Amino acid sequence: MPNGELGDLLELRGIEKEFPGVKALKGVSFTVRPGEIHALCGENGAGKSTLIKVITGAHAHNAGEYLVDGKEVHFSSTDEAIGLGISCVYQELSIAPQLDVAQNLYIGNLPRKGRLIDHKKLYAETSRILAQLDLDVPPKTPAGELSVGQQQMIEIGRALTRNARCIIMDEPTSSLSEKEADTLFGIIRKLKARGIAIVYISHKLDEVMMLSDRITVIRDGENIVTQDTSKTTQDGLIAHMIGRSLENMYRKDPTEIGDVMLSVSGLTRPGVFTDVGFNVRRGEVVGFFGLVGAGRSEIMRALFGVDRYTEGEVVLDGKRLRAGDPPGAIRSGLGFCTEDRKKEGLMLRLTILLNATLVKLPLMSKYGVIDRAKQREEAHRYVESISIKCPSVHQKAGNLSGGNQQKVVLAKWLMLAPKVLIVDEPTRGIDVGSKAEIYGILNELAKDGMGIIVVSSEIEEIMGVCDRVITVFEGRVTGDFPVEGLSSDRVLAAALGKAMAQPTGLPAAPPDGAGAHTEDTAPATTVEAAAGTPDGQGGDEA
Amino acid sequence: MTKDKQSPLRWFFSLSGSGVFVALLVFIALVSIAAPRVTGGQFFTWSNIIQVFRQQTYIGIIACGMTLVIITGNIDLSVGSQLTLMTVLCAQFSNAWGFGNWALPLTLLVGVTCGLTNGLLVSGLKLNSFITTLGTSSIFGALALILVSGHTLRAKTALFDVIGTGMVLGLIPVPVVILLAVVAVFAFLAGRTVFGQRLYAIGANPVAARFTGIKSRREVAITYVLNGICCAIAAIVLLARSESANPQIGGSKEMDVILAVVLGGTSILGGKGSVWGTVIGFLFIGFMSSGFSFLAFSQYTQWVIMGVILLVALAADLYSEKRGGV
Repeated sequence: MPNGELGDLLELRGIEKEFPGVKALKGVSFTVRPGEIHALCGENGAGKSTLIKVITGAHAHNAGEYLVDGKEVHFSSTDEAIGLGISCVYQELSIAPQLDVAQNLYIGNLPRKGRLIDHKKLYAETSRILAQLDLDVPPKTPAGELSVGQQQMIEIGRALTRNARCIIMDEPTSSLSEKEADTLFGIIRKLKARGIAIVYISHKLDEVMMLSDRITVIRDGENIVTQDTSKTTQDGLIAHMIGRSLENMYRKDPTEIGDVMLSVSGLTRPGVFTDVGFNVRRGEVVGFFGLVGAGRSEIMRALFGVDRYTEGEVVLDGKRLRAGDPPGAIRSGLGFCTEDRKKEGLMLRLTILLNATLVKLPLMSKYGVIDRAKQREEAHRYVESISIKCPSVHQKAGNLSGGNQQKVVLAKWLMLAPKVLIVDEPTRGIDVGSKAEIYGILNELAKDGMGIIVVSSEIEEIMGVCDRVITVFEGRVTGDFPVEGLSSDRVLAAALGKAMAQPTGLPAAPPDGAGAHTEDTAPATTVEAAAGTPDGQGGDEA
Repeated sequence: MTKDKQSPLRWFFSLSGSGVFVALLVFIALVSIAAPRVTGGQFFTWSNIIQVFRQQTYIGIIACGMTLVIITGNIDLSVGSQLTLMTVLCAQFSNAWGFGNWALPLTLLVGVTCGLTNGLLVSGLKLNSFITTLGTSSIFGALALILVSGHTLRAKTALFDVIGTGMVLGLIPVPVVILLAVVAVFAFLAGRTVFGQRLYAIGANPVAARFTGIKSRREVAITYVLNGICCAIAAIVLLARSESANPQIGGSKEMDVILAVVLGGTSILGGKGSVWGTVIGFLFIGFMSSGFSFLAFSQYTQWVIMGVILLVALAADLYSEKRGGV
């Protein structure tokens, strides 16, 4: 390698990138040293993605200098960047599920012998790469059989096959279980030790603080600060990201907790959840905490009626809800902001107006004919009251940022003023500023007397916004604690199945060494949850 | 954000139906200039415009129903056979079986039945709509053949005379008035009612529709029933105009219908489109086939051109959806 010393591997000076009508980057400077983990932080729309695209050659910059190994470059394609050892692992994985691990690793870059593929070399090289990644799977396994975490490793491996010196990782842990994320961190440190630089992009600031050597914050297309992680605090980082200090991310005012609004008892669906029972009171925020795949979302889907259950009952404000009847549940006053807003929450190709008013449409109409003035008025009212940032309600929902999309989903349900609102992972993948706003909204709703269920896998979120926490482990409720004076350790222990179990307890990690590609419950169900549960899936393909 | 990055071609197709509208105007202008030189006919005249409308009526009526079906992300390939079956049945009802004018409501009832059959199969049994309606198409077509065993039936009643040859205000033929009424009803249904807006939601994201408490299966079944009713109305109009029915009468008309809907900017993937676009679509087809006759193209050449246009329209639709940035 040409630069043995401390020379910068990448150096960007005053990079500008202009799209017609928008200046996405207004002079960003950014350096990457060999063997460092450099985190890139910023809110959605700050210009992170554009910067990455300039670095990887997907976009050409309009002004400024871009140097690799001290030599100026002008990439016209990502292939040129890859040729110089700059690769990117995107958030959305690009695995071909039918092809095997080796073919996926070398996709587009298969070793050849003359005009034919050199299979011997392919599989030998693959074993070598897999060893570097601590990935214990046979090279001939179809990639579709791997867990999401393992598939991501394959993507990283793909960069290694191209002799990457700098790997950019965009939100790598967003769909990983905690255990998988830990494995990933291990690999990242290993790569670092080998002198490979990592540019790490994540909304999860604790990860950034734990993993990185340096942090660069970008806001409004400018780099605000680059500093050593050891000299940074999380609060300082947030202040840089949003341009003001956020004195308290979580907001939880005391509310008047009233009568039981929702009571669930004995809810069972064989193999998914068993004998689930809990209450939610008026004005109470109840957290549902558990590992990814513990069955939290499945329980919510069942009580809303999208999935079936075989036993038990759900009573909302004294009225028993029929199983498998979402319209009935909605009429009785239950709202459900789903976990995956793109798949289950929004019609991305339709307008904000229609998305926001879809549930309430029948109430805005006479004999089935929509009162359009009323519809617009109502939509505008909510766009304003929860500050959805959009040029017009006639814009497609797909054009909004994640935080604003989530607010549209919220608006859709708030319009109905439900008695109990379920929010499943309300802040996944959205930036800090929007997160705080959403917590603020939930806080106000609870004060107005709504019962709220927050499903989350972030313990801070649960502890920060809830009155009570219910833990779920392997489809069973394992704990029900008031948050006041509660330590997160106790919640974590219960979520890992320890609290209610006998002293011997269950092991925290998935039990007994399962085979490599039949990873235990946690990762396997992650994939499943994303695709909808087995029965939920077939529901309405019409 | 990056609006100007799109190619002019994509921008052109992104306006649903409007590109086709421009093409329609250009085509009319060209043929108006060329026709007198080629065959000596005058193309752009009131009588020819009325003629085009009159010929397109039954396609247009079915296209309205089809638009709703396609907005939900489904399709109905059986409309050609439904049209045949109902035309034949209507003729039988009115003459051979002696129901007279009662043939009309009876035909509508058959329309409901055919539509319900499709609707229940597609949404009740969760079958793929393409394959399902291909199957029912074969059944409906065969039933028509069994009924008349290959003959041509004559049908003539006083009411058919009014529908077939009557004029409103001495200017507009009755079938065209019927067409306009159907267009108005369906445009209203799609754009202004809860039912219509839910169809877009179902087409755009069936999973999210379910999480929003929409009974997708029921709504989809209803679109098929409405489409069946459209076929029945079209059959009555067609029979009144031609005063005869044979088992080939509706053959492969589903292609014209789908062409009209897709040309009008309704996405075959669902969730996007409008009845007004469909109006532009079927006018385009009507003026095109009329124009080609004025230029003395053979029927077969016209079919080839129609096929090409359908493929181009589909490709443009998929292209713009893919690049549509969602």
